[in-house]
Amino acid sequence: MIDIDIIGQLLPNPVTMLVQLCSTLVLFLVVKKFLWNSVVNMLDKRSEAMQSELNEAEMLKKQAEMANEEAKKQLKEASDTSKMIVAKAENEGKAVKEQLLASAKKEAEDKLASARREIEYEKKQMRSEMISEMVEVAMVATEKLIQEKADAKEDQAAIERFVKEISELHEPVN
Amino acid sequence: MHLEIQSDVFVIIGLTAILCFAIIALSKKIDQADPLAKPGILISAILWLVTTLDSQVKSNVGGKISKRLSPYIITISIYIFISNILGLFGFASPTANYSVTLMLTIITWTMTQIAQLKAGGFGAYMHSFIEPIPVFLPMNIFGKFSSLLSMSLRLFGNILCGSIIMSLLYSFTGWLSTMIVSLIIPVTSAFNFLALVITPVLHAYFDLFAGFIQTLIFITLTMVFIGNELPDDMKLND
Repeated sequence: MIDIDIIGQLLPNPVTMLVQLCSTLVLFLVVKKFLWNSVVNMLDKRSEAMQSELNEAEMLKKQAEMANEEAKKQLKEASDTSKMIVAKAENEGKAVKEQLLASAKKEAEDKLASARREIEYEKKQMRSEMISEMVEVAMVATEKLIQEKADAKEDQAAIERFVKEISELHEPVN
Repeated sequence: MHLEIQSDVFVIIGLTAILCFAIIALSKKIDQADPLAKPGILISAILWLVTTLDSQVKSNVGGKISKRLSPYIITISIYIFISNILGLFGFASPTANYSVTLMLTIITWTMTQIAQLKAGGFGAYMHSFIEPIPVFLPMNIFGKFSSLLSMSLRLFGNILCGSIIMSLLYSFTGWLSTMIVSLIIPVTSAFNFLALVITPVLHAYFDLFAGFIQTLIFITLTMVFIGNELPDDMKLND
């Protein structure tokens, strides 16, 4: 039943050993020339490709970071600009307000001054009218006195009295 | 000495030829494959095998020597493993022949001696025979050749035992099948149906498992023996 030639397999056979040596050598050369080189080439190519992809990814990351920085910078600039615009507008508004206030005040002052001038003018007018009326009254009184032909003393007294009356009338005006 | 041509010789030549063609075909396939695309299962397996063995060799003997040693380790690991499991396909395993395992071990042993000679020089090599004192000369000579014997006999014995046990088992199941059938119908020999049930598990153990383990042991010992002879600074070089 058991057809294993133990003795034949146990004792070293030079032919088998030589064949084994040659086979191992041939197989080794084939593995080294074909399989080993192919695998090493493929692994090298893969690692190269991976390295280049890694480099690319690194570059893209850097670019993204740069873009982010740029965006932040632009945002900051925009916010600065807007702040500046608001401040400028506030200043301008203040200036306009002050100008308006100043012009309104000046106008009011002008109006007040012109009103005063008018009042003064009216006053003067009235005074001169009054004086001319007084002169007229004096003239009338004089004519009356002349017509009545009163004596000198009485005339003198009447004129004085008249002048006094006039001055008394005149006093409160000043 | 038996000088007749054993049947194993044809198995060895046939196996070598088939492996050569398969390796060349695989290499062509790997060359044509796109290195950036995800490799197929076959190519992935080959890549995994080669890189795993290469890293093992590197850790044992360093990067400088691994460039020369790795292809050899790959060669013998493929050859020994396929030889060990050849029993599954109905052939006699070449590794169940002592001439084969002895020759493979002689190659490893010679490489070990070369490594030792290169690392220390001829003087140191000769001096290692009389270390620590000259009285140890016979023991050192035995020690030099003991690894040769132990490695070759370990592989040979394991694989031969596996095939002997499987032969015994086939005989036994054949006898048992005939006995069971003859209880019902009187026959002189019946179909060995029990073998179909019992033997697959044992084939998996004796051929696949033992074959794999013995391959691993053989290549590991080859790497370790060579690595042991090399000085540490040689191993650190990448």
